[in-house]
Amino acid sequence: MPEDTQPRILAFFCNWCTYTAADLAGVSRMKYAATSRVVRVMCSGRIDPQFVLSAFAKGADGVLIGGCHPGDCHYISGNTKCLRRHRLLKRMLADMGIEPERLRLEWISASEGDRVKTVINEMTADLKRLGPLKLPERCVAWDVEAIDEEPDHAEAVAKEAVHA
Amino acid sequence: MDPIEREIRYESDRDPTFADEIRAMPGCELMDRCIQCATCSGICPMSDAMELTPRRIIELTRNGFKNDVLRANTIWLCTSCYQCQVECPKKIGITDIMYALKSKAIESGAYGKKFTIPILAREFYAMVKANGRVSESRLVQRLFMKTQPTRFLGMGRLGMKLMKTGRFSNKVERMRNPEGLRRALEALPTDGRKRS
Amino acid sequence: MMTELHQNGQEEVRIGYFVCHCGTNIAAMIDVAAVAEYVSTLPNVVVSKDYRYMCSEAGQDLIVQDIKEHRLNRIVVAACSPLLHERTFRTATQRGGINPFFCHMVNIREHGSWVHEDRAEATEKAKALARGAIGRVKYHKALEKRREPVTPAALVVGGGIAGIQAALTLANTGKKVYLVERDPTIGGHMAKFDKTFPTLDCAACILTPKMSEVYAHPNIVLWTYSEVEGIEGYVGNYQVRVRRKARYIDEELCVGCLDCVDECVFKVGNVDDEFNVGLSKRKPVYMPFPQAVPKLVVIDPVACTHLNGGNCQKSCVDACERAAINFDQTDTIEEIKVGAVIVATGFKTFDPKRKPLYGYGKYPNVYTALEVERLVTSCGPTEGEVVCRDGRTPKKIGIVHCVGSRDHQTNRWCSRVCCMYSMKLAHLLHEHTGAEIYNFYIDIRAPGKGYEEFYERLQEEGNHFIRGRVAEITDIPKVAEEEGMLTIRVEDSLAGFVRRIPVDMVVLSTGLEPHADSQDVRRMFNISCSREGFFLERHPKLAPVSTTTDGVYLAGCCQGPKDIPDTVAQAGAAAAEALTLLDTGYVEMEPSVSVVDPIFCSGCKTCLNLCPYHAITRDDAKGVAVINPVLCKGCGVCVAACPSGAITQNLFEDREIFEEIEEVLAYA
Repeated sequence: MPEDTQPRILAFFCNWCTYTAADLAGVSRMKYAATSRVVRVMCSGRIDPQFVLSAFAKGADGVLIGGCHPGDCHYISGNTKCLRRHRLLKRMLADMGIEPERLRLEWISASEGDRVKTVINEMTADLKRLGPLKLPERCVAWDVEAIDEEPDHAEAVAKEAVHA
Repeated sequence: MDPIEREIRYESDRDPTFADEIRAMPGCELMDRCIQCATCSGICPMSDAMELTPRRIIELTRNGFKNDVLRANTIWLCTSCYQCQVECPKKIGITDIMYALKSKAIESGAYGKKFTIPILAREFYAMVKANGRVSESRLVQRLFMKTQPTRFLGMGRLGMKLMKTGRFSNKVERMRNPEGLRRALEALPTDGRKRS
Repeated sequence: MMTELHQNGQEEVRIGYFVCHCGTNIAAMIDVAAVAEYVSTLPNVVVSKDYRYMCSEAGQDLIVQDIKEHRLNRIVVAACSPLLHERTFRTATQRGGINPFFCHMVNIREHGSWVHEDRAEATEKAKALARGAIGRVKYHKALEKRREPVTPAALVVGGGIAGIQAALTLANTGKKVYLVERDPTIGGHMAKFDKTFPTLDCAACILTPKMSEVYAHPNIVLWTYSEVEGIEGYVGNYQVRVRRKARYIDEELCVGCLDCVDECVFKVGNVDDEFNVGLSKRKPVYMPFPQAVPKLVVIDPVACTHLNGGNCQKSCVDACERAAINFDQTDTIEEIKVGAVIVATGFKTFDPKRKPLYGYGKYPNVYTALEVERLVTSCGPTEGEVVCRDGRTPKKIGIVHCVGSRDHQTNRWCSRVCCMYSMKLAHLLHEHTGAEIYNFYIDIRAPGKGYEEFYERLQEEGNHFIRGRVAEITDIPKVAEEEGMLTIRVEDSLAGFVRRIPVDMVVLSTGLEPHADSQDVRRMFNISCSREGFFLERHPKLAPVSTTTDGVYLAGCCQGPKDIPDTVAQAGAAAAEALTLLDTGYVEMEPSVSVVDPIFCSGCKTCLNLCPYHAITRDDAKGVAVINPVLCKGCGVCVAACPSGAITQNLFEDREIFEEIEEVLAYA
């Protein structure tokens, strides 16, 4: 990745723990990379895996999910649901060729402002190393590969799509 | 009448690079946390013999009073018992700092020419580097020759007795492949410091 | 369905965007004018302004006026954290004449200007977030806050000085208060003290009137020897289950005459007396201390022979003229309804066995401060005579500060009260024994009213203050004067040399820490703990007595170490906060609840078991799921799980979030 291009992390923070921790990091004037864009949800259990997929599809290089520590969820067990979905989602993403470091689940409690800083900085460094995801462009590239391998089939599909 | 000596320290007496160099050494970063509680001095078995107690060394070091720190006998009396480091409520690596200071002192030669402890350190290392092992009797001999040669000669009788009872041997102890060790030691990075 | 998006019969979305300078807090790192300029180019944006202080009267008026002047129907404010000012701007939006939930906030201060160092990057981020918000807000709907009535009663957990003060304050306003205390008596740690600093008031003299007041108060239900087992519900409407442990004494009949204690088959005590911190023994049947409230005895089921299945002649039963002893008593469970909870569970002291170099438990004459309190007090196990465990009257006493505190190996924090109580004990010990007292400290912390003056008084009384943290206490003498004594080796850092000081008695000023079961307690009340383990307040400066769980408040040392004046003040504050809730009579619920659309619901029941509040049921007649808005807390777990996408969470709808994601990333 060229030095001046910063990766973009879409972060889903739960209101009670991680969002509050990020506020605490702000109040404490901790400094970290400006790569994250936070979407606030009330609970990490609200996070639909489709949000994560949409984020990657729309250009995020990484997705960070922040929730309360297991046992500490403000809504008792929302974070457990998030954890289960995350496990399955990671495998799906691997099948799609998206590296596991691009999706990160962190438990950050309201008093752990420094964790927010550490995690975002670490993830920024990881994503810089991995390079931009550029999922839309990759999809086009995959299409091109398909055309090379099975030109007749690809042409037929394309014709159908045009007439449909 | 004897002139009255005044002591006052100005900011120009401080050497901030010295402080930063010590801070940069592994284990020494935390010395800024020190609250001067004096636990280290309290637990140190040698603190009553030191010119400057460990607590004072930390305070002087982090303020950059290089001369005071390197000229005191403190760092040489440290036995590396690690009690200070274990008991320190701020988990400061005090023994690590002592080692860093020893290293700095050797580098700058800030001790008397015949001061025993650094000479022992030098001879020990030289012997290990050459042979992979220390030959105790030979080491003691070299130490005496370099620090108190006349006294050494006066100990001839004691030497004879020790030889008779097999406690004294001039044999050179050597490991099987000292060349390998020497190469390993040569390969260590120096960080620009003088290699002894 | 376009009509949902609009208000006042207008067809289009008209957004007003306001970005705050916050003085220089935001403007120093983010080019707010450039952000406003950028936002003005986005679709549906009618007004895009920057202003110095949006939360001020003038800033809010700006919103009000612009809504009216430009016929705005959506507001986006980019400023500090919504956790701070969401309410402020929603109220301003409402004053402008549109539904408050058409207002959305963007955090560019705590998550922006305060945490980034590159002006260009911070500004780009602000623009991206603005774009995301502009996209999201067009899908906002008009929502109403629901009002629920509040049960006009409160629960105070913990009967120490904090709980007592909070209970009295609330009860005096006419509210019903349940005061639940785990020990057989109220009074907490303060009941064990002799005198309090800096005035040297007798602790019992100032505490016992309050304890009696609690007992006599018509509005306070006092349940001692009881514990809260479970709590359900939400702010204003809590259902609490309290376990009242069996005393084996009929509370109506016992008058506290102590005849049963005298006649107990155990002629001398055989159990460590908790009130005297183990310095004396008590019998299985006992009264915790003479001024206990309620004035009842209690039988310890662990120590009592009969209750352990042994053969006992039960002379206690014979002795009781009121026939108050009942060995068939069992624990009872009480279910109560309250609107607010004040947690005042207090602290425990640091166990000095964790610092083996101080010799507690090894050398008999090493004491904790709390043990010394019991020694000096006239109604203690030695009736005020300071005699060491080995029988000697101390002539030299060493007081060791900071035991367990300010220490990365044990507790990192300063326990705040130890310097003051150490000085108090120094004064009392000197008064009782005439001994020479040495205080070994790192710093003297005397911040309160009259505290520094107290320190000066102690110095003038001839007490030694040696600045050096005690490293080790040993009984191995080096010189003659140390024979038979405990020797403290310390560097007197102010004098500049190492000293060895032999003493007869050592007092360890142990620090304050959270109770061992504090994690279980806080999970039960759904509150958080700070890193040290004390209960977490909502905001360290502006909301020190409330928690992030509405309706649950904190008072006293369970929130952090503090002295009695601060505890009483905080207890009053917690009572006042609880009172605002109880007096209003109703609570407004956030409208971010979830709703099932029956058209799309297939009745698959996936969501039913996911709800931790059992808010979702299945209407078997219609074959769809139904969410009870009273029970729904708005977590959104069901929304994410629904395979048909039939559930919508107000304010956090799928399309709102998808749009936010897409738009925030669309900004390059």
